[in-house]
Amino acid sequence: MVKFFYPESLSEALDIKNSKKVLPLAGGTDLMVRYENWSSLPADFPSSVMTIGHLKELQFVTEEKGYLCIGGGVTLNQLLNDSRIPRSLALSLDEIAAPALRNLATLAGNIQNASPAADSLPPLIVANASLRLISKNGSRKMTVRDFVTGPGKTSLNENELIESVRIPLDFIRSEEKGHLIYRKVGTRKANALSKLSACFWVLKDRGVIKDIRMSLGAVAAVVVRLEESEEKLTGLKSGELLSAWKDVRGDYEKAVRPIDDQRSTAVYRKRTALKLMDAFIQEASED
Amino acid sequence: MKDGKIRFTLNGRDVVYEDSPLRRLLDVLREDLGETGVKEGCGEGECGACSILLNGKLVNSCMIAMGTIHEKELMTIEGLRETEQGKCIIDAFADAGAVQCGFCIPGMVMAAQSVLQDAPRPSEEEIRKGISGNLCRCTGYDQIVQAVQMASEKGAGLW
Repeated sequence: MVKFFYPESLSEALDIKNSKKVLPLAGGTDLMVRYENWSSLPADFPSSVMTIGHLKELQFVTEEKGYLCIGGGVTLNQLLNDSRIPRSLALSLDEIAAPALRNLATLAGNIQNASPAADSLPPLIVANASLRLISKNGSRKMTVRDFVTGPGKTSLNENELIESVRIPLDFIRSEEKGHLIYRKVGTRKANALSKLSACFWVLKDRGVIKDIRMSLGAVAAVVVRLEESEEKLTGLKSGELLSAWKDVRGDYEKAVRPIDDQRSTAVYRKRTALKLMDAFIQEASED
Repeated sequence: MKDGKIRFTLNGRDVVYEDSPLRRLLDVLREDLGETGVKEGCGEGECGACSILLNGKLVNSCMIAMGTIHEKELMTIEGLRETEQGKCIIDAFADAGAVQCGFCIPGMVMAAQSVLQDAPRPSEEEIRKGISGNLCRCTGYDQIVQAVQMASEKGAGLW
């Protein structure tokens, strides 16, 4: 029988997670829709559920050891009101659904849900963000990029919870010195799920590319970011970028493998993703 | 909630709920508590017809499991309309012609209240953003934006 757990503390939550198969529910905005039953009947969850959104231990945004740490229970709107988060992340969160949903949904939940179209993922992956996963037996760190392994699939162990999302402070500091583009492509401004989303960032020093990062959401099973291809563009002068891009573009043509679904066609997704990259490289090549 | 009872306040009065924690707040409001001003549109957080205030913040009640609202404060249109702020918004909607079929309007009024709580003198952009999660099929939004502006002017000092 499906049970509902309401732990009074994080340690109680970890005890429950350690001994039973329970689905953690914070904002519930993905889970309640996924397991919706006929109106008026309880939601039809496949396993027991444990609510964690109320736990005070998961409500924090702090700077610690070189990271901005965002607690697992922090909502998207709480983050939007926090000036310490990277601009790329703020731009993406601002276009997720609408204010009422952002008052419920959590950043950790958006990651754990592991949708290929999860809008927070491209900026978090550009920022090299990581997660602190906790269980009764301790904690471990993992990059967001390694955490999401496929549509709806993550590396979270049965007895673990996402304690926090950690964004390197040095990225946050250098982000504003670089050139940033975040673009969500959807049918309308509010409430539409993404056809695709893109987060691009380049940092230059006296006309030389010091750091260039490009990530694309909803164009493959997981976010596309090709570090090796980025390295081929690093160290170039702005004026050399366009011709180098001609060689590198093929890497992305191979990696961008979208699907057709109710929101968009694969052809549209692929063409738009590559055109957005072309436009970004064009901008990055100008001083 | 150790005893399995979910306690919360609804429009200022205490409520104890003992049924399934996995029912949607929307259903409980409408069916158990008679709050039929809360409407079900899409049932998946996209239309805003079921919007209420939870601890003062705008939320979609169709996406909320009863088990998550323990010890929280809820306000629906039935509660808001008894307040000076609610009356002001509702009068403004009527004066601006911002009501046609009325189905989306309870949620829209809740969104308007949320906008004015955050910014008593909101810009047009703030209003449009604040109501962006509420779909309306007949009014056309401009009158609704005007209504929020009128409420902000006439109700100056209320928020």
